[in-house]
Amino acid sequence: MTNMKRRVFLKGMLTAGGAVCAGMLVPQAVLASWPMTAFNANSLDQTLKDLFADEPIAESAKISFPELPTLAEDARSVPVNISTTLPKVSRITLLVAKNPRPLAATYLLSDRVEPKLSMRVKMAKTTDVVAVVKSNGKLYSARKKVKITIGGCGG
Amino acid sequence: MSTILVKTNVGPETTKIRMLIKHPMETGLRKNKKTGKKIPAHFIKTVTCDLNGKNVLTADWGIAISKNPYLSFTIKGAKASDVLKISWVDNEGEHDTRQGKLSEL
Repeated sequence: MTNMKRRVFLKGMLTAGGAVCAGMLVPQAVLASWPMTAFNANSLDQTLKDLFADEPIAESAKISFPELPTLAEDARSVPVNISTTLPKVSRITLLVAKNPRPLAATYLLSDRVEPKLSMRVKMAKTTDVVAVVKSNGKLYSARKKVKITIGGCGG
Repeated sequence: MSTILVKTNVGPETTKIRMLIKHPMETGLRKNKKTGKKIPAHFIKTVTCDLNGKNVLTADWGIAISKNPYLSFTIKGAKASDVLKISWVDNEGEHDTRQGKLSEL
């Protein structure tokens, strides 16, 4: 079950970086904004409600997942990239619809950063990957289905 | 050694930042197959990226982010001499920071 090659590769890339720097203050301020209720929600609808209250979310063809596979090779590590041509993007949120906790990540972007992010996520089963983008103060979303053959979160 | 591996690609108009963080990203939903006990959650909650002391990107992560997280993004109009600082903190209060000039990371 364990994908040894990948383990060895990652270990190699991160050469013995295990020790976490001691003696530095924990940046508590950065934790203050972590939306706990939304991260703990267990349905997509509830997560969206916790994050955005009743703000309307419009579907948009200007949000895309350029390299998202339609069939995931490894459900524990599905490459997701979100890209949008919408203007003035201040926040990008990624959800995996049928994960036990749908909210995967939410990013706050300054105007110095292009609205284009890549990451890797775990997916429990075949479901939609959903992106919600805040552009010019309004919310837009797009989704794409990814097929999973072996479970990602169950271990 | 840092837990944060950073690669930068400084271009004339944009700079691509790619990072890999060594972290188990344990969900808290998995069970130890031998004992049947739940493996406690251990995951990065927040990653901050500052350029010359000003925040450019803040990531709040949940348990769905894969083990040894990867993140890439693109900064507009950065110079090779600009200083990038990347910090993470997890649900157990562990943390790490990596800082350096874009040309040297």
